[in-house]
Amino acid sequence: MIKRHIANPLIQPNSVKPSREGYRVKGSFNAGATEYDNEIILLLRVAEDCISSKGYVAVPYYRFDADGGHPEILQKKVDDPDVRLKDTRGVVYKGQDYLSTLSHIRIARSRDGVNFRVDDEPFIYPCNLSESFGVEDARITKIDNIYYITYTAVSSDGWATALATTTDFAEVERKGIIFPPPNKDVSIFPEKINGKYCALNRPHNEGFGKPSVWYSESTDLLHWGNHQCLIRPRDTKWEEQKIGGGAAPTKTDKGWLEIYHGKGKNQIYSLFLLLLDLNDPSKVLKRGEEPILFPEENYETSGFFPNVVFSNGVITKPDGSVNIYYGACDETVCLAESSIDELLSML
Amino acid sequence: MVRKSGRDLLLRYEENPVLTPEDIPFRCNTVFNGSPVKFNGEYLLLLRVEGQQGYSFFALARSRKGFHYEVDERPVMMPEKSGKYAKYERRGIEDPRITFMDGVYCILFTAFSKFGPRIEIAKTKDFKEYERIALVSEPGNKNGVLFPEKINGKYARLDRPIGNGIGSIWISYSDDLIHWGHSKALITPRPGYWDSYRIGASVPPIKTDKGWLEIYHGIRMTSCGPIYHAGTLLLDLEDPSKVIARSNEPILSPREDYERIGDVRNVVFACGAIVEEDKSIKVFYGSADTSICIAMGNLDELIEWTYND
Repeated sequence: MIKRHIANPLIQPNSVKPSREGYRVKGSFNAGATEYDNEIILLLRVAEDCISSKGYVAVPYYRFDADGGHPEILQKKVDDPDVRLKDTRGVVYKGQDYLSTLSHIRIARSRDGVNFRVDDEPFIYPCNLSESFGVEDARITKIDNIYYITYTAVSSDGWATALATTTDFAEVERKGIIFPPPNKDVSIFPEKINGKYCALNRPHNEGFGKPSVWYSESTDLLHWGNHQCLIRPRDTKWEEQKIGGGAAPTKTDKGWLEIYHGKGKNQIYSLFLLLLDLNDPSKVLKRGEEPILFPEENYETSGFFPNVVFSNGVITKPDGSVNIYYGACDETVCLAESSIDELLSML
Repeated sequence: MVRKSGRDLLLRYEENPVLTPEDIPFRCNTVFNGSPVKFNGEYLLLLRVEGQQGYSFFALARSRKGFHYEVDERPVMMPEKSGKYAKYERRGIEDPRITFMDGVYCILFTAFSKFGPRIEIAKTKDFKEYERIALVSEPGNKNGVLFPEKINGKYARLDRPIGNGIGSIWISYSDDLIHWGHSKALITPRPGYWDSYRIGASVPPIKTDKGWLEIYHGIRMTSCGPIYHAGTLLLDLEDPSKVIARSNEPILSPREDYERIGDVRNVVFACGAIVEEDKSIKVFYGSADTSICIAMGNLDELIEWTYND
C-alpha cells in the first residue's frame, strides 16, 4: 500500500519567495530529500519566470561573473524585430535562446516531514555557463557524513549532471560535471559496493531506442566508468516514451530498492519499483509490472505540466516506514507514505 | 608530387586515394577513416574496413615511406562475439584513433550497437596483440581522441556527446583511463559557418609551442545533405579546456571526385596525422566513406591559420 498524505500538496509555488523582484515562482517541485540535524531537508527545484507587462515579452536569464550567477530580466516589445517567439517555452532574441522559466535549488526544512519552511534564499544557484539555463532536480545521498548532491545543469550544450557537496546545508561546494550531456536522473548509492561507488543515470540513446536507465561505477565519485544499460522502457502505456531513475536506492534485505519513473502515453508520468542485487546492482532482480503511483488526484492531473508524478526524494526511517516525496505537475511537492515491507510485497 | 587545389590550406597527395577497397586482400565494401602511427621505422595505418554485411572492423596497413601501403591479410580487430563488450559492439567497431603514450598505443574507437555509439579504448604494444581496456562513455557519444600525455597528472580526452540535436565537443579527465570526469564543453557548432550543423574531434591533439592543435571535423547541412570539412582548434597547453583559437575557415573540404562520390558523398574525415621532423604534417582522412587519402601541410601554417589572421 502506498498512501497519499492528506495535506497534499505540501509545498506550493505561492509559499516560495522569488529570487528577485520581477521574477515569479511557477513551480516548487521535484525535491531531493534527506535528514539533517533532526529535520527533514528537501532540496526543491524552484522554477521562475518573469512578470511581463502588456505588449512586452519578459524572460529570465543569468549574468555570470566571478561571484557566480545573477538573475536578470530581458524585456522587449513583442513587435521588436529582433524578438522571435518560439512557443511557450522560450524566445529567441538576436539569435540567442532564452527559456521562459529557469530553475534553481532551494532548501525546505521540517520537523514532522509534512509542514515545511522554505528558505528565502536559493541554496544552489546557477553559477557558470554550464548552468546558464538553470539547475534542476537535486538528489541527495549521505556517505560518511557528507551529503552528495547530484543535479541537472542545463545549458545550450545540453543537460548534464553535476555534483555538489555539503555538510551543513548552509555552505555548498561544487565538484563540477560528473555525467556529460545528455544525462540526467543521476542518483548515487549510499555506500560503496565491491569497493566502488555506484550510480544510476539516464543517457539519452537518441536514435537508438528510448531513454533508459544505466548503471555506472566510480572510485572517487568524480570520475565515472563501467557504464552498463540496466533497464530499458517496456512497451506499455506507462513506459512507452522513456524511463529514468529516482532517488538514491534504499538498501533492504532483499536488495536495493529503487523507485523510478516512466513517461508513457499522453505524457503521463508514473512511479515504478525496481529491485537490484545487493552485491551487484547491475543485476536486476525484480521490476514492478504496474505503477505504484500514477496521476489521479486533482493536484496531479491539473497544473503547470499536467499528469506528472516524479520522485527524486525518498526517506526511510528506522522503523521501516518510507516517505516518498514527489513532484506533481512540475508545480508542487507532495508526499506518499508506505513502508519497506509493503513496497517489497508489491513487487 | 603535390597538386595544389587552390582552395584548401592542406595539399592533396597526387596519387590519392592511397587505399581503396580494391587494395584490401579480402572482400569488403569500403575502407576509410584510418589512423596512422610510426612504428619500428614503418608507417602503420589502422583502418576502418566496412564488410559487405554492413558492419565495420579494423585492418592494418604498412608502408616504408608513408604513401604506398600494403594491407595485412587478415583483420586485426573484430567486434567481440562474447564477453562484456559484445553487447555494445554488435553493429561493429569504427573510426580508430591512435595515441602513443608511455610505450603503449592507445586506440580510441566507436563501439556501435542497438544502444547507440559509445567510445571504447583498446591498447597494443606491438600491433599484434590488442587488448580492450574499457567502454569509457555512455551511448550517444563518439569521436573520442586521447591527448598524448597526462596534463596536470591526468589523462585527458575530447569527445562529442550528442542528444536532442545538441552536440558540442567536450573534454574529460581520468586517473586510470577507465573512470572519467571533470567534463567541460569546449566548442559548439557555429551558425552560418562550415561547422554549423555538427562537429567532432578528429585527430588526437598535437602538442605545439602555441598550444594543443586539434584537427576537428565540422559539418554544414545543405539541401543536398551534409558536407564534412576539417578545421583546426588551438587549446591551452596547461588547461586544454581553454580554447585559444578556432579556425574560421576549414583546412580541407570535399572537392575531388573521390571525396564527392562514394558511399557517403562530400566527406573528408580525418582520424590521424603524422608530424615529421621538419614540421610537415600528413593528415590521413577517409574520403566519401569509401577510400583513404592523405593531405599535407605545415604545422606552423596550420597554427597560424587557426588564429584567423
